[in-house]
Amino acid sequence: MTYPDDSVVSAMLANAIPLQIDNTNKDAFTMLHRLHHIWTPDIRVLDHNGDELYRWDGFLPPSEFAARMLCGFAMAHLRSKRFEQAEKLYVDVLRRFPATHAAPEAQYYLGVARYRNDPEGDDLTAQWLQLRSLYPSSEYRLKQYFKEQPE
Amino acid sequence: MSDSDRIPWERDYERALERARNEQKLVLLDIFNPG
Repeated sequence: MTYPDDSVVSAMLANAIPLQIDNTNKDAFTMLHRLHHIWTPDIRVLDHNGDELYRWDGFLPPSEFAARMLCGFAMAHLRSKRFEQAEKLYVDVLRRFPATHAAPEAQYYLGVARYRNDPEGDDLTAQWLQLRSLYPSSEYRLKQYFKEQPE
Repeated sequence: MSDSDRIPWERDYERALERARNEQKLVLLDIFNPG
């Protein structure tokens, strides 16, 4: 696993305690079974109770890894109803890594984070319009497709 | 410089959760194969 540039390491350490477990360590086998571990690298974002709030498997090149990690932290904050922290991280993904595979996810959930923070606002529609424009072939465009149907 | 030099990895699961609780942070868990 190659962790990319210093700014990404800084973002990691600002948001999380980094924990590595060797999947050949016999002492970890019970825990790995409980975690349903199957492939490496196996990356999880956990809260302090050990509840898993985001995950992905498999190698990603540095910029993709960085964007995916930030999306993971953002989703963990979003699921924990820390909407402003989630928003800040999604904005960071879109600013620094707009061409990555994680970017459409950030665009989609930036709208969700802002909507959940202020249901009276109109930013869900604005962010999803942006999603349609910038990432028209993404899976996340499909997830908001119902908004494109005529009333 | 290796990743291990740049990142202060915890190796103990329970200690990582305790630190996350105390420092009000998340945990980034990386399960890896050294081979």
